[in-house]
Amino acid sequence: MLALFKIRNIISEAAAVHRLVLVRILDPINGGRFHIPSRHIRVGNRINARDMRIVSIGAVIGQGQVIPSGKKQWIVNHRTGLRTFNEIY
Amino acid sequence: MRNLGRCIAAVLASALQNLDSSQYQDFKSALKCVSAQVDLTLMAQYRSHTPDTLSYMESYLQTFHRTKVIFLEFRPSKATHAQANCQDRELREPMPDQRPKEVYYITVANRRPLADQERVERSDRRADLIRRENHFNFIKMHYLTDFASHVRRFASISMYSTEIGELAHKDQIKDGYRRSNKNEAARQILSHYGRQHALGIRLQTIEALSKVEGVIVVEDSGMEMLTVPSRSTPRRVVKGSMKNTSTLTELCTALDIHYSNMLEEILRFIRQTAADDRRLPATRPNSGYFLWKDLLSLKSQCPTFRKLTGSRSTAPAALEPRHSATVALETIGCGSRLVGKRTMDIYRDAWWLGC
Repeated sequence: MLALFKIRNIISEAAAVHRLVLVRILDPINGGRFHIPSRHIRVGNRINARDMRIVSIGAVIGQGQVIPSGKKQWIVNHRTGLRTFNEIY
Repeated sequence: MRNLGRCIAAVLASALQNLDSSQYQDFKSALKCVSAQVDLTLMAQYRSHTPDTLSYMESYLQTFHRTKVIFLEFRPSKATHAQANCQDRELREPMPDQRPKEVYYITVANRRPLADQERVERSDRRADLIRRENHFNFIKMHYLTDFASHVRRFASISMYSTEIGELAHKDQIKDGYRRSNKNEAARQILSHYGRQHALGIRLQTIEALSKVEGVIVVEDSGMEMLTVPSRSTPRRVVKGSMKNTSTLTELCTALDIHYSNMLEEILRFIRQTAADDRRLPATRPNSGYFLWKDLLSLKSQCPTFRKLTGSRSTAPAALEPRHSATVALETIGCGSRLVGKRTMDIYRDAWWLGC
Protein backbone atom coordinates (compact mmCIF):
# COMPACT_ATOMS: atom_id res chain seq x y z
CA MET A 1 0.00 0.00 0.00
CA LEU A 2 1.51 3.23 -1.13
CA ALA A 3 -1.01 5.94 -0.37
CA LEU A 4 -4.51 6.65 0.87
CA PHE A 5 -6.64 9.41 -0.57
CA LYS A 6 -10.20 10.48 -1.41
CA ILE A 7 -11.79 11.62 -4.62
CA ARG A 8 -15.21 13.11 -5.13
CA ASN A 9 -17.34 12.29 -8.15
CA ILE A 10 -18.52 15.76 -9.09
CA ILE A 11 -20.75 14.68 -11.96
CA SER A 12 -22.95 12.35 -9.96
CA GLU A 13 -26.08 13.39 -8.15
CA ALA A 14 -24.88 12.00 -4.89
CA ALA A 15 -21.46 13.67 -5.24
CA ALA A 16 -20.05 10.51 -3.76
CA VAL A 17 -16.68 10.57 -2.09
CA HIS A 18 -14.60 7.50 -2.79
CA ARG A 19 -11.96 6.49 -0.30
CA LEU A 20 -9.18 4.94 -2.29
CA VAL A 21 -5.89 3.24 -1.80
CA LEU A 22 -2.96 3.13 -4.17
CA VAL A 23 -1.38 -0.31 -4.05
CA ARG A 24 1.59 -1.91 -5.73
CA ILE A 25 0.73 -5.40 -6.85
CA LEU A 26 3.15 -8.20 -6.01
CA ASP A 27 2.91 -11.57 -7.67
CA PRO A 28 3.57 -14.80 -5.77
CA ILE A 29 6.72 -16.57 -6.78
CA ASN A 30 6.59 -20.26 -7.62
CA GLY A 31 2.83 -20.15 -7.97
CA GLY A 32 2.30 -19.28 -4.31
CA ARG A 33 3.82 -22.51 -3.09
CA PHE A 34 6.04 -22.57 -0.03
CA HIS A 35 9.73 -22.06 -0.57
CA ILE A 36 11.14 -25.35 0.70
CA PRO A 37 14.28 -24.23 2.59
CA SER A 38 12.68 -21.27 4.30
CA ARG A 39 9.10 -22.58 4.47
CA HIS A 40 7.73 -19.21 3.51
CA ILE A 41 5.80 -17.79 0.60
CA ARG A 42 7.72 -15.33 -1.53
CA VAL A 43 6.39 -12.49 -3.61
CA GLY A 44 8.03 -10.35 -6.24
CA ASN A 45 7.41 -7.31 -8.37
CA ARG A 46 5.07 -7.69 -11.28
CA ILE A 47 6.96 -7.38 -14.51
CA ASN A 48 4.61 -8.05 -17.39
CA ALA A 49 1.39 -6.31 -16.40
CA ARG A 50 0.77 -2.97 -14.69
CA ASP A 51 2.03 -3.14 -11.16
CA MET A 52 0.09 -0.26 -9.67
CA ARG A 53 -3.62 -0.09 -9.10
CA ILE A 54 -6.13 2.12 -7.35
CA VAL A 55 -8.89 0.28 -5.53
CA SER A 56 -11.52 1.13 -2.99
CA ILE A 57 -10.29 1.08 0.54
CA GLY A 58 -12.91 -1.52 1.38
CA ALA A 59 -11.05 -4.00 -0.76
CA VAL A 60 -8.17 -3.99 1.71
CA ILE A 61 -8.65 -6.98 3.99
CA GLY A 62 -5.56 -6.55 6.09
CA GLN A 63 -1.89 -5.93 6.19
CA GLY A 64 0.97 -8.33 5.73
CA GLN A 65 4.56 -8.18 6.81
CA VAL A 66 7.06 -8.67 4.05
CA ILE A 67 10.81 -8.90 4.51
CA PRO A 68 13.22 -8.09 1.70
CA SER A 69 14.88 -11.13 0.27
CA GLY A 70 16.94 -10.65 -2.82
CA LYS A 71 16.34 -8.19 -5.59
CA LYS A 72 12.70 -7.08 -5.70
CA GLN A 73 11.62 -10.14 -3.79
CA TRP A 74 10.06 -10.37 -0.38
CA ILE A 75 9.29 -13.10 2.10
CA VAL A 76 5.76 -13.03 3.47
CA ASN A 77 5.87 -13.48 7.21
CA HIS A 78 2.82 -15.52 8.09
CA ARG A 79 3.81 -16.03 11.70
CA THR A 80 3.05 -12.54 12.93
CA GLY A 81 0.03 -13.72 14.85
CA LEU A 82 -2.37 -16.53 15.34
CA ARG A 83 -4.88 -15.13 12.85
CA THR A 84 -2.36 -14.73 10.05
CA PHE A 85 -0.91 -18.10 10.86
CA ASN A 86 -4.30 -19.78 10.48
CA GLU A 87 -5.23 -17.90 7.32
CA ILE A 88 -2.08 -18.64 5.36
CA TYR A 89 -0.69 -21.81 6.83
CA MET B 1 10.31 -12.26 23.47
CA ARG B 2 6.82 -12.45 22.04
CA ASN B 3 7.56 -9.74 19.49
CA LEU B 4 10.79 -11.49 18.58
CA GLY B 5 8.87 -14.67 17.88
CA ARG B 6 6.63 -12.86 15.42
CA CYS B 7 9.43 -11.96 13.07
CA ILE B 8 12.39 -14.18 13.85
CA ALA B 9 11.51 -17.01 11.47
CA ALA B 10 11.04 -14.78 8.44
CA VAL B 11 14.07 -12.64 9.27
CA LEU B 12 16.25 -15.73 9.61
CA ALA B 13 14.87 -17.07 6.35
CA SER B 14 15.85 -13.82 4.67
CA ALA B 15 19.28 -13.64 6.32
CA LEU B 16 20.24 -17.27 5.69
CA GLN B 17 19.18 -17.46 2.10
CA ASN B 18 22.60 -17.44 0.42
CA LEU B 19 23.83 -20.85 1.41
CA ASP B 20 27.23 -22.37 0.76
CA SER B 21 27.43 -26.10 0.43
CA SER B 22 29.23 -26.21 3.78
CA GLN B 23 26.60 -24.09 5.50
CA TYR B 24 23.53 -25.62 3.93
CA GLN B 25 22.81 -28.28 6.54
CA ASP B 26 23.52 -25.99 9.49
CA PHE B 27 21.36 -23.16 8.18
CA LYS B 28 18.60 -25.58 7.29
CA SER B 29 18.65 -27.06 10.77
CA ALA B 30 18.62 -23.60 12.34
CA LEU B 31 15.65 -22.52 10.23
CA LYS B 32 13.78 -25.71 10.94
CA CYS B 33 14.41 -25.40 14.68
CA VAL B 34 13.27 -21.77 14.88
CA SER B 35 10.22 -22.40 12.70
CA ALA B 36 9.18 -25.36 14.83
CA GLN B 37 9.57 -23.32 18.01
CA VAL B 38 7.53 -20.41 16.60
CA ASP B 39 4.82 -22.76 15.31
CA LEU B 40 4.64 -24.43 18.67
CA THR B 41 4.27 -21.08 20.40
CA LEU B 42 1.54 -19.99 18.02
CA MET B 43 -0.42 -23.19 18.39
CA ALA B 44 -0.12 -22.99 22.15
CA GLN B 45 -2.14 -19.77 21.95
CA TYR B 46 -5.23 -21.58 20.72
CA ARG B 47 -8.15 -21.12 23.05
CA SER B 48 -9.41 -24.60 22.35
CA HIS B 49 -7.64 -27.71 21.19
CA THR B 50 -8.47 -30.87 19.35
CA PRO B 51 -6.45 -34.10 19.15
CA ASP B 52 -5.20 -32.87 15.78
CA THR B 53 -3.84 -29.61 17.12
CA LEU B 54 -2.19 -31.44 19.98
CA SER B 55 -0.58 -33.90 17.61
CA TYR B 56 0.66 -30.97 15.52
CA MET B 57 2.18 -29.45 18.62
CA GLU B 58 3.88 -32.67 19.57
CA SER B 59 5.33 -33.02 16.10
CA TYR B 60 6.63 -29.43 16.26
CA LEU B 61 8.17 -30.18 19.61
CA GLN B 62 9.86 -33.29 18.28
CA THR B 63 11.25 -31.30 15.36
CA PHE B 64 12.53 -28.67 17.75
CA HIS B 65 14.26 -31.22 19.98
CA ARG B 66 15.73 -32.97 16.97
CA THR B 67 17.27 -29.80 15.53
CA LYS B 68 18.10 -27.73 18.61
CA VAL B 69 21.64 -29.11 18.73
CA ILE B 70 22.67 -26.51 16.20
CA PHE B 71 22.29 -23.80 18.87
CA LEU B 72 24.06 -25.73 21.58
CA GLU B 73 27.42 -24.06 21.11
CA PHE B 74 25.87 -20.61 21.63
CA ARG B 75 24.69 -21.17 25.18
CA PRO B 76 27.71 -22.19 27.22
CA SER B 77 27.42 -21.76 30.95
CA LYS B 78 30.03 -19.89 32.97
CA ALA B 79 31.59 -23.14 34.12
CA THR B 80 31.86 -24.39 30.55
CA HIS B 81 33.42 -21.08 29.49
CA ALA B 82 36.00 -21.37 32.22
CA GLN B 83 36.70 -24.97 31.33
CA ALA B 84 37.13 -24.09 27.66
CA ASN B 85 39.52 -21.24 28.50
CA CYS B 86 41.53 -23.55 30.72
CA GLN B 87 41.76 -26.10 27.93
CA ASP B 88 42.90 -23.37 25.54
CA ARG B 89 45.73 -22.42 27.87
CA GLU B 90 46.78 -26.00 28.32
CA LEU B 91 46.81 -26.60 24.58
CA ARG B 92 48.75 -23.41 23.87
CA GLU B 93 51.56 -24.07 26.32
CA PRO B 94 52.74 -27.60 25.48
CA MET B 95 52.42 -27.22 21.78
CA PRO B 96 55.71 -25.33 21.21
CA ASP B 97 57.56 -27.96 23.20
CA GLN B 98 56.08 -30.74 21.15
CA ARG B 99 57.39 -29.26 17.92
CA PRO B 100 60.54 -30.73 16.47
CA LYS B 101 63.58 -28.56 16.96
CA GLU B 102 64.08 -27.98 13.27
CA VAL B 103 60.82 -26.01 13.27
CA TYR B 104 62.59 -23.13 14.98
CA TYR B 105 64.93 -22.78 12.02
CA ILE B 106 62.22 -22.30 9.43
CA THR B 107 61.20 -18.87 8.25
CA VAL B 108 58.28 -16.81 9.52
CA ALA B 109 56.36 -17.28 6.28
CA ASN B 110 56.56 -21.03 6.66
CA ARG B 111 55.76 -20.89 10.35
CA ARG B 112 52.45 -19.06 9.80
CA PRO B 113 50.57 -22.06 8.34
CA LEU B 114 51.57 -24.09 11.33
CA ALA B 115 50.24 -21.44 13.67
CA ASP B 116 46.99 -21.32 11.74
CA GLN B 117 46.68 -25.06 11.95
CA GLU B 118 47.18 -24.95 15.71
CA ARG B 119 44.55 -22.22 16.03
CA VAL B 120 42.02 -24.24 14.06
CA GLU B 121 42.74 -27.29 16.16
CA ARG B 122 42.26 -25.31 19.38
CA SER B 123 38.95 -23.85 18.21
CA ASP B 124 37.75 -27.30 17.15
CA ARG B 125 38.57 -28.73 20.53
CA ARG B 126 36.89 -25.79 22.21
CA ALA B 127 33.73 -26.34 20.17
CA ASP B 128 33.82 -30.05 20.98
CA LEU B 129 34.12 -29.32 24.66
CA ILE B 130 31.26 -26.83 24.58
CA ARG B 131 29.03 -29.25 22.69
CA ARG B 132 29.92 -32.00 25.14
CA GLU B 133 29.34 -29.95 28.24
CA ASN B 134 26.33 -27.89 27.22
CA HIS B 135 22.81 -29.18 27.44
CA PHE B 136 19.22 -28.13 27.31
CA ASN B 137 18.26 -29.84 30.52
CA PHE B 138 16.59 -26.96 32.29
CA ILE B 139 13.14 -26.74 33.68
CA LYS B 140 11.50 -24.49 31.07
CA MET B 141 12.54 -26.82 28.31
CA HIS B 142 11.00 -29.72 30.18
CA TYR B 143 7.66 -27.90 30.62
CA LEU B 144 7.09 -27.94 26.87
CA THR B 145 6.82 -31.70 26.88
CA ASP B 146 3.99 -31.55 29.41
CA PHE B 147 1.86 -29.10 27.42
CA ALA B 148 -0.23 -31.67 25.55
CA SER B 149 -0.91 -33.81 28.58
CA HIS B 150 -1.91 -30.73 30.60
CA VAL B 151 -4.33 -29.64 27.89
CA ARG B 152 -5.91 -33.08 27.96
CA ARG B 153 -6.28 -32.87 31.75
CA PHE B 154 -7.13 -29.21 32.34
CA ALA B 155 -8.38 -27.99 28.92
CA SER B 156 -6.71 -24.95 27.36
CA ILE B 157 -4.05 -23.79 29.74
CA SER B 158 -3.81 -20.23 28.44
CA MET B 159 -6.29 -19.33 31.16
CA TYR B 160 -3.66 -20.23 33.74
CA SER B 161 -1.23 -17.70 32.36
CA THR B 162 0.56 -15.74 35.04
CA GLU B 163 1.70 -12.92 32.76
CA ILE B 164 -1.02 -10.49 33.82
CA GLY B 165 -0.37 -11.07 37.49
CA GLU B 166 3.37 -10.68 37.05
CA LEU B 167 2.98 -7.42 35.17
CA ALA B 168 0.52 -6.12 37.73
CA HIS B 169 2.95 -7.03 40.49
CA LYS B 170 5.57 -4.80 38.92
CA ASP B 171 3.39 -1.81 38.10
CA GLN B 172 0.94 -1.89 40.96
CA ILE B 173 3.05 -3.13 43.83
CA LYS B 174 6.76 -2.64 43.31
CA ASP B 175 6.69 0.88 41.88
CA GLY B 176 4.27 1.99 44.57
CA TYR B 177 6.40 0.49 47.32
CA ARG B 178 9.54 2.22 46.03
CA ARG B 179 7.78 5.56 46.11
CA SER B 180 6.38 5.06 49.59
CA ASN B 181 8.20 5.85 52.84
CA LYS B 182 8.07 2.10 53.65
CA ASN B 183 5.93 2.82 56.69
CA GLU B 184 2.48 1.23 56.38
CA ALA B 185 3.13 0.95 52.70
CA ALA B 186 -0.09 -0.80 51.67
CA ARG B 187 -2.23 2.33 51.78
CA GLN B 188 0.41 4.40 50.01
CA ILE B 189 0.74 1.77 47.29
CA LEU B 190 -2.99 1.85 46.69
CA SER B 191 -3.16 5.65 46.52
CA HIS B 192 -0.09 5.77 44.25
CA TYR B 193 -1.64 3.35 41.79
CA GLY B 194 -4.95 5.24 41.90
CA ARG B 195 -3.19 8.48 41.02
CA GLN B 196 -1.23 6.85 38.20
CA HIS B 197 -4.37 5.30 36.79
CA ALA B 198 -6.36 8.55 36.94
CA LEU B 199 -3.55 10.50 35.29
CA GLY B 200 -3.25 7.91 32.55
CA ILE B 201 -6.95 8.13 31.74
CA ARG B 202 -6.80 11.94 31.80
CA LEU B 203 -3.85 11.95 29.38
CA GLN B 204 -5.69 9.64 27.01
CA THR B 205 -8.71 11.93 27.10
CA ILE B 206 -6.59 14.97 26.29
CA GLU B 207 -4.91 13.13 23.45
CA ALA B 208 -8.25 12.06 21.98
CA LEU B 209 -9.64 15.60 22.19
CA SER B 210 -6.57 17.10 20.55
CA LYS B 211 -6.89 14.93 17.46
CA VAL B 212 -8.23 16.76 14.43
CA GLU B 213 -10.23 14.91 11.89
CA GLY B 214 -8.28 14.92 8.64
CA VAL B 215 -9.82 15.88 5.39
CA ILE B 216 -8.34 14.62 2.18
CA VAL B 217 -8.51 17.02 -0.72
CA VAL B 218 -7.36 16.16 -4.21
CA GLU B 219 -5.44 19.00 -5.79
CA ASP B 220 -6.31 20.70 -9.09
CA SER B 221 -4.65 18.80 -11.86
CA GLY B 222 -5.61 21.18 -14.63
CA MET B 223 -6.91 18.25 -16.65
CA GLU B 224 -10.03 16.14 -16.35
CA MET B 225 -9.52 15.85 -12.63
CA LEU B 226 -10.46 19.40 -11.66
CA THR B 227 -11.76 19.40 -8.15
CA VAL B 228 -12.68 21.97 -5.57
CA PRO B 229 -12.14 21.71 -1.85
CA SER B 230 -15.36 21.54 0.10
CA ARG B 231 -13.89 23.65 2.88
CA SER B 232 -12.37 27.06 2.67
CA THR B 233 -9.05 26.12 4.23
CA PRO B 234 -7.60 22.93 2.83
CA ARG B 235 -5.97 20.76 5.40
CA ARG B 236 -3.08 18.39 5.12
CA VAL B 237 -3.68 15.83 2.44
CA VAL B 238 -1.71 12.74 3.19
CA LYS B 239 -0.78 11.35 6.54
CA GLY B 240 2.14 9.04 6.81
CA SER B 241 5.83 8.75 7.19
CA MET B 242 6.53 10.74 4.03
CA LYS B 243 6.92 14.44 4.66
CA ASN B 244 5.99 17.25 2.31
CA THR B 245 3.39 15.29 0.43
CA SER B 246 0.47 17.66 0.56
CA THR B 247 -0.42 17.43 -3.12
CA LEU B 248 -0.82 14.73 -5.70
CA THR B 249 2.28 15.89 -7.55
CA GLU B 250 4.40 15.68 -4.43
CA LEU B 251 2.96 12.29 -3.65
CA CYS B 252 3.92 11.04 -7.10
CA THR B 253 7.40 12.45 -6.65
CA ALA B 254 7.78 10.84 -3.24
CA LEU B 255 6.62 7.46 -4.52
CA ASP B 256 8.66 7.74 -7.69
CA ILE B 257 5.60 7.31 -9.86
CA HIS B 258 5.01 9.17 -13.05
CA TYR B 259 2.23 11.72 -12.72
CA SER B 260 0.50 10.58 -15.91
CA ASN B 261 0.45 6.99 -14.66
CA MET B 262 -1.17 8.12 -11.46
CA LEU B 263 -3.83 10.08 -13.32
CA GLU B 264 -4.38 7.15 -15.63
CA GLU B 265 -5.04 4.88 -12.67
CA ILE B 266 -7.42 7.36 -11.11
CA LEU B 267 -9.31 7.73 -14.37
CA ARG B 268 -9.48 3.98 -14.76
CA PHE B 269 -11.04 3.69 -11.34
CA ILE B 270 -13.49 6.48 -12.14
CA ARG B 271 -14.54 4.79 -15.36
CA GLN B 272 -15.20 1.59 -13.46
CA THR B 273 -17.25 3.21 -10.73
CA ALA B 274 -18.91 6.07 -12.56
CA ALA B 275 -21.39 3.73 -14.22
CA ASP B 276 -22.89 2.94 -10.84
CA ASP B 277 -23.45 6.57 -9.91
CA ARG B 278 -26.45 8.47 -11.21
CA ARG B 279 -25.16 11.27 -13.37
CA LEU B 280 -26.41 14.83 -13.47
CA PRO B 281 -28.07 16.02 -16.70
CA ALA B 282 -25.30 16.34 -19.24
CA THR B 283 -26.71 19.05 -21.55
CA ARG B 284 -26.54 22.70 -20.60
CA PRO B 285 -27.69 25.43 -23.01
CA ASN B 286 -25.52 28.27 -21.75
CA SER B 287 -22.85 27.70 -19.23
CA GLY B 288 -22.35 30.35 -16.66
CA TYR B 289 -26.05 30.51 -15.81
CA PHE B 290 -27.99 28.45 -13.34
CA LEU B 291 -30.83 26.41 -14.69
CA TRP B 292 -34.14 27.06 -13.00
CA LYS B 293 -35.54 23.74 -14.20
CA ASP B 294 -32.91 21.74 -12.45
CA LEU B 295 -33.21 23.77 -9.32
CA LEU B 296 -36.99 23.58 -9.23
CA SER B 297 -37.02 19.84 -9.87
CA LEU B 298 -34.99 19.20 -6.76
CA LYS B 299 -36.71 17.65 -3.80
CA SER B 300 -35.74 20.39 -1.40
CA GLN B 301 -35.57 23.81 -2.99
CA CYS B 302 -33.40 26.56 -1.81
CA PRO B 303 -35.15 29.97 -2.02
CA THR B 304 -31.95 31.88 -1.57
CA PHE B 305 -30.79 30.62 -4.91
CA ARG B 306 -33.35 32.75 -6.62
CA LYS B 307 -31.49 35.74 -5.26
CA LEU B 308 -28.20 34.25 -6.33
CA THR B 309 -29.37 33.56 -9.87
CA GLY B 310 -31.24 36.85 -10.20
CA SER B 311 -28.22 38.91 -9.39
CA ARG B 312 -24.72 37.60 -9.93
CA SER B 313 -23.28 40.11 -7.52
CA THR B 314 -25.28 38.88 -4.60
CA ALA B 315 -23.71 39.74 -1.31
CA PRO B 316 -22.71 36.85 0.92
CA ALA B 317 -25.12 37.96 3.58
CA ALA B 318 -28.04 37.32 1.24
CA LEU B 319 -27.52 33.57 1.54
CA GLU B 320 -29.13 31.97 4.49
CA PRO B 321 -27.24 28.97 5.73
CA ARG B 322 -30.28 27.37 7.31
CA HIS B 323 -31.62 26.17 3.96
CA SER B 324 -30.42 22.89 2.64
CA ALA B 325 -30.51 21.71 -0.94
CA THR B 326 -28.54 19.83 -3.51
CA VAL B 327 -27.68 22.24 -6.26
CA ALA B 328 -25.62 21.96 -9.40
CA LEU B 329 -23.65 24.83 -10.84
CA GLU B 330 -21.94 24.90 -14.17
CA THR B 331 -19.30 27.24 -15.41
CA ILE B 332 -17.47 27.72 -18.62
CA GLY B 333 -14.13 28.66 -17.20
CA CYS B 334 -13.37 25.42 -15.43
CA GLY B 335 -15.48 23.09 -17.51
CA SER B 336 -16.71 21.39 -14.40
CA ARG B 337 -19.74 21.27 -12.21
CA LEU B 338 -19.67 21.63 -8.52
CA VAL B 339 -22.03 19.98 -6.16
CA GLY B 340 -22.65 21.12 -2.66
CA LYS B 341 -25.03 19.82 -0.09
CA ARG B 342 -25.16 22.84 2.15
CA THR B 343 -26.08 26.39 1.37
CA MET B 344 -22.79 27.67 2.65
CA ASP B 345 -20.99 25.31 0.33
CA ILE B 346 -23.06 26.61 -2.56
CA TYR B 347 -22.18 30.16 -1.73
CA ARG B 348 -18.51 29.31 -1.37
CA ASP B 349 -18.38 27.46 -4.66
CA ALA B 350 -20.22 30.23 -6.47
CA TRP B 351 -17.92 32.84 -5.00
CA TRP B 352 -14.87 30.80 -5.93
CA LEU B 353 -16.04 30.57 -9.52
CA GLY B 354 -16.77 34.29 -9.65
CA CYS B 355 -20.47 33.88 -10.34
